[in-house]
Order: sequence, then structure tokens, then C-alpha cells
Amino acid sequence: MIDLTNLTIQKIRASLLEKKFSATDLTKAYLARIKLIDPTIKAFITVTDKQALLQAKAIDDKIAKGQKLGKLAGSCMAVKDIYLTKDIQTTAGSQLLNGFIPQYSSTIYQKLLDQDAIIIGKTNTDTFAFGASTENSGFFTTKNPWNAAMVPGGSSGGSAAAQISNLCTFALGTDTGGSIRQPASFCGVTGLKPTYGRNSRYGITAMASSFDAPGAFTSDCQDLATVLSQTAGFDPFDATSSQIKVPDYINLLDKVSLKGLRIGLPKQYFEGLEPDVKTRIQESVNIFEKQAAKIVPISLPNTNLGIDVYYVLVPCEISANMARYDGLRFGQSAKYEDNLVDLYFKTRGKFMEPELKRRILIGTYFLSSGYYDAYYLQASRVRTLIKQEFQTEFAKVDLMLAPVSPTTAWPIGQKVNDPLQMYLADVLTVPINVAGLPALSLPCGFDSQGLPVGLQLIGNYFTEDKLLSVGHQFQQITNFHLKKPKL
Amino acid sequence: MAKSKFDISLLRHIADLARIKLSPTEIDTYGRQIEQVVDHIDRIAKIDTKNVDPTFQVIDTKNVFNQNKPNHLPVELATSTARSTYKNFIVVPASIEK
Repeated sequence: MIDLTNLTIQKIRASLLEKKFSATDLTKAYLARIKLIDPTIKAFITVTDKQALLQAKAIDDKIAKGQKLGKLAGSCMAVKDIYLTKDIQTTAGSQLLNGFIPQYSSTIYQKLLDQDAIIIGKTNTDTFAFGASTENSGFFTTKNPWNAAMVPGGSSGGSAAAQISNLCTFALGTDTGGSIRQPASFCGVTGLKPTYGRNSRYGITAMASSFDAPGAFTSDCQDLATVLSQTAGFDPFDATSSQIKVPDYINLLDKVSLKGLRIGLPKQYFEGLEPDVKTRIQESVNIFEKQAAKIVPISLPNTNLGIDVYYVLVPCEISANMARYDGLRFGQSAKYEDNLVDLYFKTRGKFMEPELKRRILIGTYFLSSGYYDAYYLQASRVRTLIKQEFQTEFAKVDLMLAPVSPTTAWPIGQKVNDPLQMYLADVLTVPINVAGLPALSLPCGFDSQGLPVGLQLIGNYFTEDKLLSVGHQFQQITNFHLKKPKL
Repeated sequence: MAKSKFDISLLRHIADLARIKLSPTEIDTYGRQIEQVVDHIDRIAKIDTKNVDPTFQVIDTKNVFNQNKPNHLPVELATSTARSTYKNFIVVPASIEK
């Protein structure tokens, strides 16, 4: 008997066509596993069992009638709860939107539904994606499936935990400062932060509009290529989505030869690492070297400033984006007041989580009269320096390799009351968002406690095809991505 | 522009601008936490950015235009999540004195 919950997207579609099992069988298998595992892991805020079974039946009907099936037919997707899903509660991990039922769907979620993917549930996230551990969720903290005392990473921690626990075929997340790559690394799954603008941001609650990058978690690079082939492309509802042609990611998976591939190792990304992380990354470098890749030492001296730029610009964009939560048009609202301004104060004071308030306050401060030039404008100029520095180094290499995080998953509770320490944990992921580049997070082994270590391959703009190809070949010669926790 | 240091008294003013009601405990906690974050970030001021243009948008997208016609949610649907409506308008408390 095959384990239905441990199949890839392509295998599922092929099996449905061969009538090895039905979409309903598959969906029921996932729902049964969620019922068994999720009370411990707590990956989901909402499990969409009714919708999932209805969608599954519709796919089975298509098969019975011999109708054409979508590219992701039958695959069950877990969707980060900041993606608007029509008629399905979308909380953004915040009490502010508890009970909110959107009237329309986010573009990339809809594109996947159109390809016959099934929504299995909405996953936990730090409130509005502000965080690196899911501890800032307004609902609960997701547990790391490898060790329930540890964080799963964040903010897309629910999606990463669902993915490694076989509670879905693939999962959607967003990466504003590492929120796909870091939980992928902490949970041992494959995740891609695409180039800014490759995937539409439409219908996803906005965090920082010039940084937000939606993307996916999968079990391997082939599945990532399948998902990205469907989600990428221009969307008239998102003017910042790119009009650059979408490559055929699946057929390009074997395109890049590792022989002679110039892989840059930015020395600043190797400072202050936990010893086990350093060792695992070095072993991965050795694997590429064995395949005759050329390892090139490079330098990105402004790496440490990435955190500073990020934690100035992102709170500024947050403070502007969060102004829409006024208690009038959607979401929770304080008891009606005689006065409009009182309603704003009370609604935002009562329903916003601490991290939401902190970031709005920080951003409002940096944007306020007298501070704008010193912080916002200065950070925007340093952003240019960081962007230029990457471009200079990309003239010497095809891609860069670095750890995703200086550490593996940390204990739940360790950083939650120390926002500065939580922010500093993002040091190796945020510079990529500051520049808007794509980066692929791949599992590359375990530390002495049995917690996963992740490496990131960083590419130049719109080179997702190259990253996926190199990642795919790495996964052909290693089996880190096949390891699963005992649950 | 010279910066003045962030402190707790400034936080009350910022919270007013952000339209967030804070309890005295919150003012104390967030005040200390934000002060730490701002102190850390202050090193950015030392970077020489003379003759460096700011980046507001990373992929050099040029102007994107749409046709000037409504192409999205009908009004009834758009207002359906509001806490109070009257004939497709959103009802709000008075914003000027009666």
C-alpha cells in the first residue's frame, strides 16, 4: 500500500490518470493525517475539509468524463493564512481579522485552483507575517515537527511544518525578509523566494510592498518548478509584477551543467555560524566541488547593513500598509464610538498583536517629521549600495551559496520577548530581499541535535530557472530532502 | 537633518500619530524595546551616501497603465465586509462635531 501523503505533484497527477487512486482517496488521506498529527504540530489555523472534498469530487468527475486535467490535479495545497481565499476565513494570523471571509481570491492561489490543485487548509503565521518563529501569531505557536520544543521558523512556519509533516503536497508562503527560506531551513523542506515581481502580490495582505515575495514550499525542486510555472507572470492587478517572459522551468531542470559552474561564497555569510551549520554548508560546497563546480571566494561587505536597511524600510512600509485596518471596512472593530478617531484608537489598541503595534510604531517614528531624511531616505540610499554590491559580484559568479541562518531552530520562548535578537536572526536572509533577488533554500543535513540545516542558492534577477536546475541536480546526488521526522 | 534620540516620551506622540491606544505597561515595554532597535539601527547614519540615489523599487519596472474603467468587485460585494452599511455606503461615526 503506497503512502498517499508522500507523493510528488507529478506522481499524483499521473496516478489519478492511471486510476491508481482517486482525488477523493488522496484528500481523505491528507485529512486523516491532519486529524492525527496537527493537534501536536498546530500548523493549521483552518482546515478546509468541506471545500477540499468538494474540489476532489469535481476532479474525480472530470476524470470519469475524460475531461482535461490541470497541471496540479489532485495536489493538496496548504495556504499561508495571509493569502485571501474567497469564502474561506483569512486571518493573517491576527485577531484583527479573526472571522474575516474575503470576497475574492489572491491571484496565485486562484491560478493554482485553476490547475486543479485542492486547498486543504490555511496555515499559521506570525501576525501579518511579522516574525521569524510563528510565536507572534495571534492564535498559537506552531511546533517544529523535528522537535516540538523548537520553533518551526517563520513567518511561514505553519506552511513549512505542514510540508515536512506530509499534511499537504505543497504549501504557499511569502518571503519579505526570509519568511520562506528560514522556515524551510528549520523544517528541512525545499522553498523558493522568487525575484521580487515574479509572482503577483495581489490579494495577499501587504506587509512591505517593495519587499514582499510570494512563493512555495515543496518536497523537491521538480515540484517547485511545477508550481512556479503556474504562479509566475504578469498580473494586471499588481502593477509591480514583472512582464518578463516566464521560462519553462520544468524542461530547464537539467539545463545548467555543474561542471565549471562558478559558485560564489560570500565570506561575510560564513561569520558567526554555529559550528554544525558551518560544517554542513562546507560539506555541501564539497559536493559541488566534486561535480567540478568552481568555488569562488567573494565579498559582500555591506551584508551587516542589510538588517539596518530592512528594519528601517520595512516598518515604514508596514506603518503605511496597516493604516487600512480602521475597524470600518473589514475585520474586527471596537464597540461603536461617537467619534471616528476614538474608534480607530480602540480598534487598533484592542485587536493588534504586540509585534504589529511595535512595527507600526517604529515605522511611524522613522517616517515622522524630522526623522524621514535620517532614516527612510538614508536607508533607501544604502539599499542602492547593497543592490550594486550584489551586481558587482554577480559579474564574477553564476550564483552564490550561503547558509540560510547562522543557527538551526531555537527553543520556543527563547527570543520572543527580545525583538532585537529576533530581528538579528534574519541577518543572512534580509539582504537578498533588500536587493530583490531570488534565492532557493535546500535541506543539506542535520546538526548534532537532529535539527535540519539549510543552504541558500542566491541568483541574479529572474534566474529562478538556473537556481532550480542547480538545486535539482544537488537533490539528484543527495537525499537530505527525502528525510522526514518521526511523528 | 539631525536626529534626536528615541525615548519613551516620544512614543506617546508616535502612538497618537499611528492611532493606536496603548496601556501604560505597553508604553513602558514597547518604549524600551523600540529604543534598543533604534539604537542598533543608528549605525546606518555613518554610511557615506553622498551621490547615491535612493532605491524605492528593485526591478526597474517602468510605468504600468490600466484602462480607466472599473474591472473588479461590484460595490455591494466590496462593502459586504463592512461592519455597518446604508445603501452601499459604509456607515462611520461622526468625524466632525455635530
